[in-house]
Amino acid sequence: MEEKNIDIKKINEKINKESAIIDLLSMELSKVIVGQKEMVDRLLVALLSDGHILLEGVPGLAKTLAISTLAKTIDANFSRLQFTPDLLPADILGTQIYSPKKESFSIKKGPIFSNFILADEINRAPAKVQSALLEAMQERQITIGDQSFKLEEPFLVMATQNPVEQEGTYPLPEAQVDRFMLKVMIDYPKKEEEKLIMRHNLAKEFPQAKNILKTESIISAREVVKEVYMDEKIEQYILDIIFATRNPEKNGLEKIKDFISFGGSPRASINLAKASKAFAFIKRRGYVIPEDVRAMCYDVLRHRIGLTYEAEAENITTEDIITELLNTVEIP
Amino acid sequence: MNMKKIILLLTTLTVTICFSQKAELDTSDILIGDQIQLNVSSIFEINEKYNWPLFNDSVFEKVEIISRGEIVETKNDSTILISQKLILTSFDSGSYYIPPFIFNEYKKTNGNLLNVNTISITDSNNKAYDITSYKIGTTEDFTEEELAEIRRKRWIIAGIIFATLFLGFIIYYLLRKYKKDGTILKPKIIIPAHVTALNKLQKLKKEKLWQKGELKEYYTRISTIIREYIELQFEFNALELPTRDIVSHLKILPENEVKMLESILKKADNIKYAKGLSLDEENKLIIQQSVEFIKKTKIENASSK
Repeated sequence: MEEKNIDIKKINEKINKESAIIDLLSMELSKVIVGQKEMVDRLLVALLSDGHILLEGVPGLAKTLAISTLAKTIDANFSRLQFTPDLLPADILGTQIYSPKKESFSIKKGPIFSNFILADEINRAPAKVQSALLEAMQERQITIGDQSFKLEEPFLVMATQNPVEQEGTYPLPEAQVDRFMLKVMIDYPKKEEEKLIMRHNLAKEFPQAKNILKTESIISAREVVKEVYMDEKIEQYILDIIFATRNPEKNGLEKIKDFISFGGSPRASINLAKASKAFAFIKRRGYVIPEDVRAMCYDVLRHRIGLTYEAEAENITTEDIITELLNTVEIP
Repeated sequence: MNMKKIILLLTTLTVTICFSQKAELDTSDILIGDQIQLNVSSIFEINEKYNWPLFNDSVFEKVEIISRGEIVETKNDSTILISQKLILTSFDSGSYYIPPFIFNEYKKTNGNLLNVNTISITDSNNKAYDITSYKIGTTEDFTEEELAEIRRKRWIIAGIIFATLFLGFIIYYLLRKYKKDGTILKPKIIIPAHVTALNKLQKLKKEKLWQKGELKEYYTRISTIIREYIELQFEFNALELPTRDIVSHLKILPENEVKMLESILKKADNIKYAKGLSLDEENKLIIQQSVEFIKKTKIENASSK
């Protein structure tokens, strides 16, 4: 018993040490991003748990700014890809170029060979481009011609998409959107926050984020996040939630049975566990509690639960279903 | 005697002979089954010999004798009148000849023709097969009083049938219901939420889990008992909510009780999810705190499941 206790203590000590980067990052981001605390937390969760993040919100809510600012704060390569309908996979991945002088092909690497990728308005590019990016996100490896290249660590894709102006867009298929660990919905800022945003933009100089961290710090923090203790009871709680999305009627959720066409995949369980650990880390805790799971549940499951026509007809959203799940699944 | 006298005498004699014997029918045309009367009579000299016929059943073919009257004799100085009445009928249509009755070699009656007719089905006046004209069973056959009485009786019968069916259904329903429940009107026992929770805590104490080293199970049980109690007492889904949300739901309680609850649940969470340890004194204290919290926040009429 004593040994186990020491383990938790050690983790807590490590967290206290490593979580300094959270304070630094939060402080630097808050210089540029006003409000949007939840979005910033989710960006950090994705960064620390080696996941990718999809941000959705109407134009002008600082989605792109948040991601570019996060990239700037870390001493890492950053690429911004503006997705357009005429984009080709080679524009992202790279291609082989023939050199007449050398009489051979040489590899020209694409912008995906960076630590941080901002895929702006991902739903504006055709399916083959989306597919190329999403495959790279999963495999962490690119093949050009007959050569394969490992992507650098940390590798984080932060994509944005716009829920309005759906004409001429290519919505991400369910199977591909599943590659994103989190899907975060961005809402309008509060009145006080918007006043500050207005002042920032009217000032002579717009605040700029500084490069304060090295990629090694992120990789080191990720290792500590992996050590965050998750009790069997929490694992059970995560599984109960995911299984309730698949078989709602077996979990006392008969009323939402007809609204779910498909539930969360095993990737949902894995990502919910990883995100919960990262969230516990951000909260400076060496162990996961049900509050962490519940906090991450919406962002992990939002894009992983399929809705039926009945749900759409009755204006039921995935958020409504997740709320119902959390209010029904018992905490162990 | 001259010739004229002789002729007159012979004529008178002949007439007397011919018209002193009679067999007369009421009518010569009848319908099947109608009855008719046959009068047979004859005048004889006092000393004259005769045989009066016996009218048995085989006398007439197809014509039946229903009754035979008495033989009536009426005498005067020189003659005797004998008469008899017969009632006849026939059940076969047709024309039948009733032969003359012979009394002696000089005297016999005349013969008669009897026509027996059927009811004509083409007779438009009778309308033998037209039943629409009959009024039996329709309202027109009864008086208003009789109709009112019939209606009243019909309503009474219908009412009795309906009441019987309804009663039968009620009995059937009740029997099924109580058979399913396995109880008949057994009163529901309502146990207050705090009583249930205190009983469970008492039972947990007796199990001595933490003394056996099952610290995690001990704190898990305490946490569950407290959350079950809160769910019933304050009517919200405490079993599905984490500590922070439960505490924020119970801000209506006095601050001390809220702090006490927060301390119990957080301690339990620490043991449950973070492999936390606790001293023996803390283990004893947490159950006392739980009992105290329940006693301070109980509502007498809150029911248990």
